[in-house]
This record gives sequence, structure tokens and C-alpha cells, in this order.
Amino acid sequence: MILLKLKNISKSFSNRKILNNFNLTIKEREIITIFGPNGCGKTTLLNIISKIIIQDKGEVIFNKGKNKIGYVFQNYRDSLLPWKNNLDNIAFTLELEGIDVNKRRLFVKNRLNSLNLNIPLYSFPYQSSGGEQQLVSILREVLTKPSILLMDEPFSALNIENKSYLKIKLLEIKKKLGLTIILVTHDLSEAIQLGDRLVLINKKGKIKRIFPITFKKPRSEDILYTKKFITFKKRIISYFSEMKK
Amino acid sequence: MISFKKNQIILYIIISLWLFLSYFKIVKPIFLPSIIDVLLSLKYLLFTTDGILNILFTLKRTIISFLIGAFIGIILGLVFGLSKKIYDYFEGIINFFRSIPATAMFPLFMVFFGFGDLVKIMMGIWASGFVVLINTIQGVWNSKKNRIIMAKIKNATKYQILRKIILYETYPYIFAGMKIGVSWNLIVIIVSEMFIGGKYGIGKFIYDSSVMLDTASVIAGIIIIGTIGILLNHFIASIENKLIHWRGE
Repeated sequence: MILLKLKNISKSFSNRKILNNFNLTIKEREIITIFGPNGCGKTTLLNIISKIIIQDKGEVIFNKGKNKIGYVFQNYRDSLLPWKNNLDNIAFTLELEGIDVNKRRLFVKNRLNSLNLNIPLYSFPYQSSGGEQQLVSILREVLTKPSILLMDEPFSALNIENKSYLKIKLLEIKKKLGLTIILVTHDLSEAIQLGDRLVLINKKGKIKRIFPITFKKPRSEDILYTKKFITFKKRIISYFSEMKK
Repeated sequence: MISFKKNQIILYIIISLWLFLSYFKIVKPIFLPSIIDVLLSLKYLLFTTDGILNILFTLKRTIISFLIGAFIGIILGLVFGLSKKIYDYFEGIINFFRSIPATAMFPLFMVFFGFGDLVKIMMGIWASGFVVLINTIQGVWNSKKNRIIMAKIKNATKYQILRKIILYETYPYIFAGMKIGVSWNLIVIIVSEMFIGGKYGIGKFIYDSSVMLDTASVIAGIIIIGTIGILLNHFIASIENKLIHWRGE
């Protein structure tokens, strides 16, 4: 079932076209990964979908009543609330919805139990590792089951260990909660490992090609070293290099 | 702990030097009185009704004016910080008055508020209010954009964003402003007590003592002011540490 349609989206900043007639249809429960060179409008696209900025042209059409958005920023430190412990950070969406403090804490704890996640709930962000902080910011966005989760290079600021752990956790959470995700990344392996479809954008903000990704799920880190994966990655790299010429 | 010991060493050196210079009368007592004389003046300030009243009146004026100044500074700081439009109207006036030393406002304030307690308190409000105001504005402006965007995406109301995000973001700035503000406040209160007089006040006590060439009392008064300043700063810092423990410092 179609969740979101992006129709002819264009956006310029200071006469520079960032997105150019961008068209994409996103189905429910799929992970779209957006890959492209720096400045090709990847983040702008997420900001338009989430209405942080308004497009110059085009339409963002959500399936009726399904426009609840979760947004995970690259810089988790700047999006978490340092004055709240991890539990209350995760429950912040519910707090804004006016849910009673005890109810929302109980809800979060129950959800985390059902997801088998062990997080130091009473620690503050400054007492938590980078991986824990980003996991908290992801959980804050997903526990209330948004219609779509937008992720802007969510793992780029993390070390390899945390990155691997969070990618696997994200896939588990996505499966259990049935999330739809648009993930922007400049890490091609990550884009292939996580995505159901990979959208390649060129420097002018145009979709150059959409690659369906058919690798079996769940996809652990081991997949990155399989021949099939490497061949597929090479194919995209060669296409990407051609595109840049 | 180590720095405390270092502080103590410096203090001991100063006191030893002072004892040496005054005991051997190397420096005239009018310039450097004996420690005993200063201790006697301190005893007068701390253990006689008049002495205590001098301290209490200065404290009262400082605390009242600081609280009012900080309150006004925080409220206006939030308003100016949140609304660029309003700030644009007042930017010139704020920059004009913040450049003027508070003490230069004495004559004008005396015309407006007379010669009693009110003028001293108003001077204190002026001195601390501006520092807190400027810091609060900076605090609002430096709020992390991602946090506000995050809340907006979740359809937070403007009031929720203010109360649940911006207010917390400004705390470190407000407290930094309050710590500077309370020192300015104390300075202005002391100076206004010296200039305007009144029945009680450490500033008046110091001024009267200096007229009488009683340097020991002047130094005792200065010690009391310094102690009040340190205590007020510690008090604000302790609230700050409790309220902003999440900075992880």
C-alpha cells in the first residue's frame, strides 16, 4: 500500500537548484535509502517531507491520516534533551501529546521490554555512550509508531561497533513495529544493507536510478563481505562514477 | 582540594606580610592598620546591633534589587530572544544603556527616586537586570535548532517549545548572567550607600570610616563585602549545580 507520494518536488537555495522535479512513491513498511553526492538535496528532501522547509514546487501527498513523522538527526547530541534522563527523552513525544508522566513511562518500559532492549533508562545523555544516545533518539521517534521515520545519516557520527549494533537494532525495531523508513546516507554499504530500494540522486537533485535490493533478511554485518553484496555494490559505484562524469 | 590549599598559602603569605609590616610599623597605621584593629572592627560589624544592621541593610538592598533585576532580565530576555521583531525595536536602546556604567545613572536616579532606599534598590535592579537580560537573550538565541525542529515536527505548541526546551536551554546563560549580575549589584549598592548615605549600610560604614581616617574599619568593611559577594555567588552556584546537573560538568 502506498504511504507517501512525492510529486515533482523542486527546491532552490540562492538560485541553486537543490532538488529538481523529484518524484518518488514510498510503500508502507519499506526502507528507502537515499544515496548521492554531498549537496544533492538528500537532507533537503527529508526537511520537505517533514515540513521543516517548504518546497518551491511540487506536492508531498501522504496516505489519508498517515502523516505522523519521526525524524532522527545525524547529530543526536543536539536533538536529545540533556536535562531529561533517557527514559523521559524516549517518552518526550508522549509528553508533548499530554500523556500523564507515569503512564508514558510505563508505556516506554513496556515497549522496550517487548523489543528486548536494555538501555540505562535513568542515566542522562551525558552519562550514556554515543551509541546509547543515538538509540535513545531513535526510540523517541519510533515508539509511538510514526507513519514514516526519516533518518538523516543517523549512524555517521558513531564508531564502527556502535554503528553495527544500531543498524541491527534498527532492522529489528522496524520489523517489530512495522515502520516505513527513508534513510539518507553517504555510506553505500549501509544503504544497501538496510534498504529495500536504493535511490541514487545526482548533484542536480534528480533521481538517476532506483535500485531494488533483494538480499535476504535479516541482514547481519556478515552480508557486507559476501560476493553478491560486493558485486552489487560495485555495480552501483560504477553507475555512480559514470553519473558524476 | 589542591587549589584550596594553594589559596590558603597565598592567604597565609599576605597575612604574614601584613603582620610583619604592621608590627614593625614599616608602613604607617593609617595606610596599613594592625590585624588586631581590623579584627576589632570586624567584631563591631558582626557582634553589635549597629554593625549587624549595616550588614543586613546592605544584604536586604542587594537581595531585593537582585531578585527584581534578575526577574525582569529573564522575562524581558525571553521576550526579546523569542521575538526578533520586538528585539529589533529595542536593540538600539538596549545597546545604548548597557554601554553606560550604572554609576553614571546615579544623578538621574536620584532625581527620579529620591535619596532613600528606593534609589539604591533601583540602581541595583538596573545593574543586575541588564546583565541577566543580555545573557538570557543570548541563551534563547543559542538554543539548539535541532531540538526545536524536533519538537515542531511533533506538533508541539509554541508554549510547549518555550517551556520544555527553550527555558532549559537558557538556564546556563541565565545563571552565568546572575553570577555576574549579583556582583555588579553588590558593587552598585555599596557605591550608592557611599554616595547617597542613609542610616545603615556597609557602603556608608566604609565611607564614614574613611572620613574618620579609620582604615581598620574600612578594611573590615571591605572584608565583609568580599565575604557577602562570595556567599551570594556560592548560593547561586549551588542552585545552578542542582538545576543544571545535566551538563555533566
